[in-house]
Amino acid sequence: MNKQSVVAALGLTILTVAVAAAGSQLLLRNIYVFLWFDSSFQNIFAQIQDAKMHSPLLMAAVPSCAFWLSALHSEKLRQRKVLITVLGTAVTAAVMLFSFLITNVNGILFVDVLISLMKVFSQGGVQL
Amino acid sequence: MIKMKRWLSVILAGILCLLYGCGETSKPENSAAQYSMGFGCADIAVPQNSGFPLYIAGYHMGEEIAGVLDEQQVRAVWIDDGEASVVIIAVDCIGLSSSTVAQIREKLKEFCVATDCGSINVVSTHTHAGIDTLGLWGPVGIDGKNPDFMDALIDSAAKAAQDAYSDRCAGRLFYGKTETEGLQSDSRGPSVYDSNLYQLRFEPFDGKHNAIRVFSFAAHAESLRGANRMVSRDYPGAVCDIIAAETGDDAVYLPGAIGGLIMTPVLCKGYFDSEENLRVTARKIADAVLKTDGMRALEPKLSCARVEFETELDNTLFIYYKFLGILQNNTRRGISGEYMIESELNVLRFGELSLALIPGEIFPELVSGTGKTEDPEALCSIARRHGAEELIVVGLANDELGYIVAPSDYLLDDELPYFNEAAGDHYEETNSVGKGCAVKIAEVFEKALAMTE
Repeated sequence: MNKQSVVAALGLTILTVAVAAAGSQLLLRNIYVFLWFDSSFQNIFAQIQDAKMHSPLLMAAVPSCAFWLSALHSEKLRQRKVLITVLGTAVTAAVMLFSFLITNVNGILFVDVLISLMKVFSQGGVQL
Repeated sequence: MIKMKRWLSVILAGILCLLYGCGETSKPENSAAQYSMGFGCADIAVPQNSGFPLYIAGYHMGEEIAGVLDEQQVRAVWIDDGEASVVIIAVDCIGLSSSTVAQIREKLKEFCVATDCGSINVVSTHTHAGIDTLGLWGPVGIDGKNPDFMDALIDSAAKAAQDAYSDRCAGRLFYGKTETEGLQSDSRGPSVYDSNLYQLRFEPFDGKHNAIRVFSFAAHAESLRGANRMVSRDYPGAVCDIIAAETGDDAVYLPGAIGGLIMTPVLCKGYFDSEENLRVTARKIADAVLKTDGMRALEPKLSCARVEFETELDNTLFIYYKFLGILQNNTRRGISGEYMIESELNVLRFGELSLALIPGEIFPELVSGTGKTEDPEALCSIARRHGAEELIVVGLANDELGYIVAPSDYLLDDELPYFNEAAGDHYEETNSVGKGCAVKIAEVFEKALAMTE
């Protein structure tokens, strides 16, 4: 592995983590719209978004970097730029989403909150 | 010579009788075993220009205070029997979570070491006209606590406790109760409440210190009602003021079993005037405090027990608030994904009298008994089995777990539990941690009581 591919892998990691972070920020900010949640929950999602974003970012960066390094190391994959770009972004986004779901904020897992909210709103929502 | 000794004994006994009274209320034979008690009080200053809003707690979300009728206070008593000692701190507020209580205890850590204090207990008076201390009355999803006010509250609590210790002196402690009439109503059927007003009265030997009254009455402190936005201690503070003005005694209010929901009715005549209603309510409760007679001296034998426990946190809304950092109780996630919330229950025992310090708003039927198999044994019955003939239940002590509802009457909405009320009178469930809490409280109460034997 040469120095160039390491630098390229790091650059691509930063880029994809940033794209995935921006995407998840956008998703969180507007999740109540996407999931037809009540708009009174905008506050809650804004709080969730502000609560913990840094740890999923860091968690996603490691596997993302590993992916880019291995992809760039393979001559065969290097030639299929579109494929590795899509795969790399998807891997980063998936890891980020997973790590975000299992983020423990103040002793409560985000996935538990999200599931219970979805249950609530599958029943028709509520006006707080 | 023998005759002279007899005369001297008679004169000495006469002097003692004159000084301390005779008969049932006389000083205990063992003069080493006696109660000492002290009182402290501190205002909680409303922060000016703090940069954070000051939300009023108890009714509507996101409503800021409009002014101050009377400042919230902290009142504390120190009690010891020469061996064990306890501090009871009563804070004029809607409720305090265990994390705030822990901060107060932390602030008093050195005090506890220096004074050998064995137990610090923080009780909220549950005024519905105070500044938000639980964080639940900010806008949706936003912490309603004002950090400057919370700091002031913690400082005032520590100061009141220290002042109570400095004020301590020896004396006798009396206990009594009086039955009230027309001062309570139960908004949820079946109509069950404890109409007794309980009182501990401390009389110092030296005659220099003020006497101290600690009284407990079971009714939400909301005589100002929901439209009020002025900060006030509501009736607990007003009653203490009347007692001080008319007798010179210092007074502390402790809420009883107020769950379910026990409140004072509108007592003012004519159209509803919130301040007039507060005045009339306070006057009537103060009259009940002052007319309590037949009080009997308590044996100077104090013991305290504290049991930490955890109970299931089912309430979805409470989970959200915990996630957002608004609720600050410690929680733990179980293997099957359930959340457990940590709390504590304390028992103070003064001879045959016990004080159960319950961390929430317990339904009175859980104290007196429902007779239903689904419900736990009544706290009164548990107390009797452990030789505690008299029991005072104090709510909102050292934590606020919300309503503690009888399991036999616990009903959640099928579609949106904890968000919507089930049909009928089931509002309190939406402000409870879960159905299992009542059983856990009874279990822990028995454990704590056994530790004081």
